[in-house]
Amino acid sequence: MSTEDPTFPPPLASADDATALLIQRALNEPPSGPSEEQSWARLEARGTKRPLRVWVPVGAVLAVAAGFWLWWARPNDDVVLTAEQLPQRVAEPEHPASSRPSDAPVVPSAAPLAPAKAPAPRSTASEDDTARCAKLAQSGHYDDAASCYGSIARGNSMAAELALYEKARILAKAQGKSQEALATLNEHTQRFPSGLLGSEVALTRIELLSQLGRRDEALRAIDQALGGTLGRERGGDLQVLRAELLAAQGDCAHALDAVAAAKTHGVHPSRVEAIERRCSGSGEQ
Amino acid sequence: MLASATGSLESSHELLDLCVAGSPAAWRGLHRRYHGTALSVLRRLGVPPSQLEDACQDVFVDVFHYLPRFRREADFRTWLYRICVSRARTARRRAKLAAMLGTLLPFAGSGGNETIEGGQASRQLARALDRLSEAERLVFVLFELEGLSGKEIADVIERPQATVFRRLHDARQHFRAALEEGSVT
Repeated sequence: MSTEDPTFPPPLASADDATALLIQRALNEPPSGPSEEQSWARLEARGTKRPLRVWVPVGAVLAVAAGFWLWWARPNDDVVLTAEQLPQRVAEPEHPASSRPSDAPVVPSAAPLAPAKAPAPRSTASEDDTARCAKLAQSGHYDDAASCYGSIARGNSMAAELALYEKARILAKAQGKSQEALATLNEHTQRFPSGLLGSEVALTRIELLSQLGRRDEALRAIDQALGGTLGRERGGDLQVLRAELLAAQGDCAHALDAVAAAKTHGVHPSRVEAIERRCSGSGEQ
Repeated sequence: MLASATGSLESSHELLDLCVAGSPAAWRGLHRRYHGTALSVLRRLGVPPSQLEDACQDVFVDVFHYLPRFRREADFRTWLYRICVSRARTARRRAKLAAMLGTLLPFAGSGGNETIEGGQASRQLARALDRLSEAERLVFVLFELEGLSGKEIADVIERPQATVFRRLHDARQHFRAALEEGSVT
């Protein structure tokens, strides 16, 4: 028997027939299912909990059956175990759990969302710093955490990009320093225009601009975002925000256009009801 | 410049390191980068639409939980595919059980047939994939739709490349036959 690895044929999609055409068309179709943003929001909300789903009734039935069986099969006489009869303690494994020999995922149990407690296999200075900053933020030392992230954010690495975003988030969400957060996000946009978290930065920036009452800038940022990835992912939310800002400016005609656009993105009518009422009440301007 | 490096293997390792170090932004970035991959492979492996989001979340909960133990000998993408395969299997089983319970206990599960989502070509593809065995479908999806090499698939399914080759050959035959049958078009 040959031990040589076989040579694989080219993929079907690279051929020139009906099957290839079908695969190419399917691969080019827009993906269905939840958006990345929705999925992340749900994941954050879910945290460490695994939904019980259909296992609840199955588990309940099995538990009742097992209980009944144990009661039915109970021994007639009380048995007293002596020390010799007790099972020996299971020997500790040679390797601790954190250095399992296989990379394959083990059968999952209730998993915490962000454990990050086991030591990193290859720790570098920026990872150590990031871990320190994360601990400071977790323990509520926001000033220290912000300056800690600020010190990592000086370089041009991915660690710097993520740290700059993290600093802005702490300034905005934990400390309420919207102006400083906005300046940090602006710095992020300039330094990392195609960064990994570009969409998050753009969205947070829009939120901050509208919080600060800088409506024109917020509207410009929304228009810009609607043409990009963020627009595809969060088009409905952006249109709702746009409608609110326009209505607040008294531009009801455009606000109602934005409401209509939001609805085409699947936004529930109740979310835009107040804007519609406000605009229909005051008459279109 | 980072902008050109975000998709590279080097930046992937850096991202994983930062996740393990506990950076929330890194976790966010990891999810952003790999969510689409996980979702598409789960869908193509036959996870029904009603289970898709839960299965995808389970994949990332596993990633978050086990990443600190992940040794970088294997490629992260291969490791992710392995988790997806395991989660897809669980989700399909769960869907079957829910359907079964749905007929017995109407309050326990949704049950019933689910409409395949996506465009016309995706639906046609999904119906043809449904005609393959689980093992054939796995190899076909990873090779033809996800673009993995024979060696990478062998790593994912933990079988020799010869097995992957044979399954791919069979899967192609069955896939073509399914397309040719009137029921698929």
